[in-house]
Amino acid sequence: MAGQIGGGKWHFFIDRGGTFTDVVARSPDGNLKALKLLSENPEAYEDAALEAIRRFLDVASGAPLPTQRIGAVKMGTTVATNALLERKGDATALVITRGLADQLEIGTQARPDIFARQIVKPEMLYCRVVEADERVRADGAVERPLDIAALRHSLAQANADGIDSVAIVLMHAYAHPAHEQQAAALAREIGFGQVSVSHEIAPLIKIVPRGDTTVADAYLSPVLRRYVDRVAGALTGENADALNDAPRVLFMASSGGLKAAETFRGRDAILSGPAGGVVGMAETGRRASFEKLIGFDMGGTSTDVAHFAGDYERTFETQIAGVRLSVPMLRVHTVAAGGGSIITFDGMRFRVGPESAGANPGPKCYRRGGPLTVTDANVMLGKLNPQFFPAIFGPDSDQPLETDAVRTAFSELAHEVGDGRSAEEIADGAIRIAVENMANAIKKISVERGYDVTEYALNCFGSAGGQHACLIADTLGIDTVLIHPLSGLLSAYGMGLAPQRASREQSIEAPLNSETMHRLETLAYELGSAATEELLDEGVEHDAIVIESFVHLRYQGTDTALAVPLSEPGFMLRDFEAIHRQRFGFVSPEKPIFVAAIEVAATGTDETMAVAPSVSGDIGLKPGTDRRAPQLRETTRFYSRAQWHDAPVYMRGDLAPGHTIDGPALVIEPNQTVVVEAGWSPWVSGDNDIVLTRIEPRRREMLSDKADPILLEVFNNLFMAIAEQMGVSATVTPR
Amino acid sequence: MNIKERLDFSCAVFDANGALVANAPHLPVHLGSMDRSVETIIRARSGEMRPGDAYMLNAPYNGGTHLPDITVITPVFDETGTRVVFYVASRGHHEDIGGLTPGSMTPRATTIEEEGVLIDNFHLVDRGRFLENETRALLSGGKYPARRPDKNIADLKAQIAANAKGEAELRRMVKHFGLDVVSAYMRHVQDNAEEAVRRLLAKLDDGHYRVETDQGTAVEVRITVDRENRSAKVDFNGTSAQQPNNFNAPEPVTRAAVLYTFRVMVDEPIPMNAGCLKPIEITIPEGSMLRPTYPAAVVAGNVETSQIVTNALFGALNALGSSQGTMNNLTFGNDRVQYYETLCSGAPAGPGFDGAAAVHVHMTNTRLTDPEILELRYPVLLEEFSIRRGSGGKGQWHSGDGTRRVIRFLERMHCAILSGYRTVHPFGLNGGGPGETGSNAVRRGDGSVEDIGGCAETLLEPGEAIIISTPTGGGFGTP
Repeated sequence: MAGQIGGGKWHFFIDRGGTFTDVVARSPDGNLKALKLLSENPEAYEDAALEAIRRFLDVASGAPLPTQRIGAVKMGTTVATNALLERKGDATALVITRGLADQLEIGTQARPDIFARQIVKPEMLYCRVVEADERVRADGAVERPLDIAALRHSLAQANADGIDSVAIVLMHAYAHPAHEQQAAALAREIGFGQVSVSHEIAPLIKIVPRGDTTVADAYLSPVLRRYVDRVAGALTGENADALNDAPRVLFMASSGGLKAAETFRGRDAILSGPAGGVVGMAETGRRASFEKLIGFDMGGTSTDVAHFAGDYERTFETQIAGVRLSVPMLRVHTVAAGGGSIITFDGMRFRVGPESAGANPGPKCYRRGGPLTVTDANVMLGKLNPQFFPAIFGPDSDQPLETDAVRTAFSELAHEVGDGRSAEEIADGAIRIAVENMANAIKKISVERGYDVTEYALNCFGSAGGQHACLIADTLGIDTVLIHPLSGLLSAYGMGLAPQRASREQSIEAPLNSETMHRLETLAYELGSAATEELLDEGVEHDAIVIESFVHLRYQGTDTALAVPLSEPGFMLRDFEAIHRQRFGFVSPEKPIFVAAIEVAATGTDETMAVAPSVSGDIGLKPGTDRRAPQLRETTRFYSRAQWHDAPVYMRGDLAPGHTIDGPALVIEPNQTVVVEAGWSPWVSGDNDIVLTRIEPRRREMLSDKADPILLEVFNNLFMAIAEQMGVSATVTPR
Repeated sequence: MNIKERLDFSCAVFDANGALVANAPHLPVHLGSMDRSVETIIRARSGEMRPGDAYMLNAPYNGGTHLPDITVITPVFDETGTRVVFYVASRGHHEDIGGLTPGSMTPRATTIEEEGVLIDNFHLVDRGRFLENETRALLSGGKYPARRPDKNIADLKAQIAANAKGEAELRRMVKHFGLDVVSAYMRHVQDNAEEAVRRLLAKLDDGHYRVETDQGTAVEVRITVDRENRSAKVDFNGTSAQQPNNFNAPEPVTRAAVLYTFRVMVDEPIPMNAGCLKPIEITIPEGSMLRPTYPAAVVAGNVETSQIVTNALFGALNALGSSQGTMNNLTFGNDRVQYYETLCSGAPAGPGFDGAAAVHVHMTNTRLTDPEILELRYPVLLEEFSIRRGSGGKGQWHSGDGTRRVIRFLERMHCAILSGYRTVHPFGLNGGGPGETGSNAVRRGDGSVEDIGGCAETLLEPGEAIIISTPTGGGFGTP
């Protein structure tokens, strides 16, 4: 039926995360299969991604891969992210304009936590600074030409000392790169293995974020390169019959586009995994006919949320692990709330997170003496049932989730609170705090930016998403929740759905007038050609390439630029005002418009993904159009929102298109549990998605005005969120 | 520029009595002082406020701190529009509010009139209508009017918009939970914060410290803890009298410093609201430099004296070594542009740790404008911005290193610096050595370098440069 999709070969979509490597495979007959492996398991295999491929292809561990059977491998990896977090990149020298050796260390001089007694600043990524004797002014005038001889001496010394990576960051090079070009040529001549140059890496104004980005690229690219070469080498190595027959190996960039192994570099790799999640949620949501989506990816330690209303949203300024990055990245907001978030009580007020029990010891129910967490609260409430959870705990990895210790701990906590509330009420309250925290994160990317979140569908994925989806939706006033059959590995699936993408940016910083328009048109052509070249080199067919040019406009005197498609000035102004009004609630027609930057992106769509693949029975799903009521295995009960509910339990594999259930209920999936709260009704769509709909109106909650340790935290956070939203409003208003 | 690039603003939510409920503080100095502005408006306008109204003030003797910081206050009414149930407020540092020099941070003023336009309880928005003409007249009036009222008005509109956002979100919350519940929790969160501070107080010791300044004045504080009642008295008796300069700090500044210090001491993410100060009785002698009387000049109180008070408090608590004790306020400008920045030194040393180099501490946390933006928008060239390695005060634990900044001007420019610890060394604590003094100098066209002292104004010709070295905190503990 699906026939020879993808040329009769296997395609692999891989998300190599810190703990797990998720793999979605498409077999030659078009069916999808899924596999989850531990990312690090040196006793069993050398590399999780390659091991997964071997298992699908039925090849012995360590044996050469039959590359002729593989069409493409699309992969996201946290290799660069982890090297950044753990400061394990390659030794890097920074070349910067004389007088500014410490500029990146000083940064904006602001401290991250204003109430910290001991201020801790992020460790710098470079290990040596070389001051380049040169100076260019903002208008491009050269005050002092580059002293090549002096630079040669310092760089040769650095190289001789074993430093093989260099980042070159000179003042105003985003617009006037001549000195950087000279310095880069010199560094390459001296023989540095990695030369990252700021005007190539991130040609945008602001030396601090551009410099940080360039240093990160120099520091991470070699690490990434070694990993990429290992994977690509195993896949395209000597076994390929001919060059044409070798599998295509593509990596996910933070911008949400795939890159060929040869062009994938450090600056693109920081949000590789989360980008797959955004693409996965947007594309699966779109296929399920939802136009407005909130992506909700809840895992063990953190939750990623994203907004999608037809276009991917990218940001050019992100801060990760103390490093300011100015490269296009899909807008993902991360909050430190997950299944492992620790529950604490200080005698008056409950808190949940931001500390996490992590992978080790993990939640208390994992039998390793861990603290009480959100996951434990769900065990306490009967929402997570050991009977339906893999028995992988205990010293021999064969025990079910532990419930007794969890019950005891919550009972002790209830005793400590001492106001007569039960252990269940405590656990229910902890869930409420966690849910409010995550809902506040979603408000940041929706309500705070002018979107009415009640019009959205929540696309829920990640290992802990299904336990909280209905509660999150209720808190936000959302009436629809989508759970894709691959929701446990949606980021990996997203790798398969992403296009190849190459983009170029350039700062402009000029008023919007005819002279600037001329410059924009010239640049759009030049940058578009460069991006197209890149995709052609990566093997994309010319006819499959689509070019889009965006102009980042802002009111004079503001720093918040909004991207609009490049067109006539009148059209751009109209688009700008429409977005501005939507985002900030007003426009200021009297203010002059400035062009901050131009961004040109070339995307190449993979035709082989155009057909919606059917989902294989291997992940426990029956394709078809079964309309009977689903088989009921048993009933259980869970506690939620201050009362017990009797709940039928359904196996995901028993649910088929057309099936409808009424909440409360539990749906047990291979990789997660979906808690269907009272008032919600799941329906299985023709594509085998679960679509949860709110069928009863929400009742207004009747709260007592007496102080409650759970609600104290909830209200504290709500009041704070209001003050923060006021602050965001103040910073974006033009003046 | 100030509000957006430097994040020199704060927004807050208050209950019906004007008590702080929640604050998104970018700057600690705004914390614990904005409620005084709200209280002033309640006192003066009670009964006459109508839905859609907003008020503003900067009056240092009536709820404000210094003239550039303008606070906009919006009452939030109940559904019937008859009763004020909450207030929202936003405070932003305006680039210029008039006064003797561009940027309104003159070191020369001896009276408040010379510092700029005084705004005392001004009706800014009347039932939804922005009173632009009246506002413009106010800003353009007085002996030293604002230089660019258009910019002030744009900033004020941003503040009004921020308040409108706060009002809308509060309404949404009331709709969801009911007014009774929201109002009740505004009280509960204050009680909760009060309790958190009381727990800290039960563990604190009495203390006393006296900090000297370049002006020959001193800030003295005595902290007396009643462990049984879990309360404390913070008494500033012994502090110098009000001065004929602008280092006088209106009372809310010291209050903000006390609140900040105790919040740091708690060492936990407790809610920051009016409850925090309930167990603490603050005594500030009338007519002292920490509670000056009209018409004393005050512009440095908010940005300089606040850091000195904080040093005294941490000294009395024996908790942290001194910081640089200044913000190094640099302003420059002409008729076309005005610019303001504050410069960091290192972080204080403490028991068990050295201070980090080059980072803003205590009452400020403004972001510095990126060098490329600075040079694109202003006729200047940043010749150097570096860390003075090894400059932090020595001790068992060293203070963080300070910075050096050299800005060359490409056009004729008026320049003013307001700073401290150019002659007195920041103190060492518990046997730690003192920090280094800072310096301000001008490199003239002929190459000569001229020290201009801690508080100075000067005119720079194209090619001339200002050179600032920030002082460093003292060490902690005997080396």
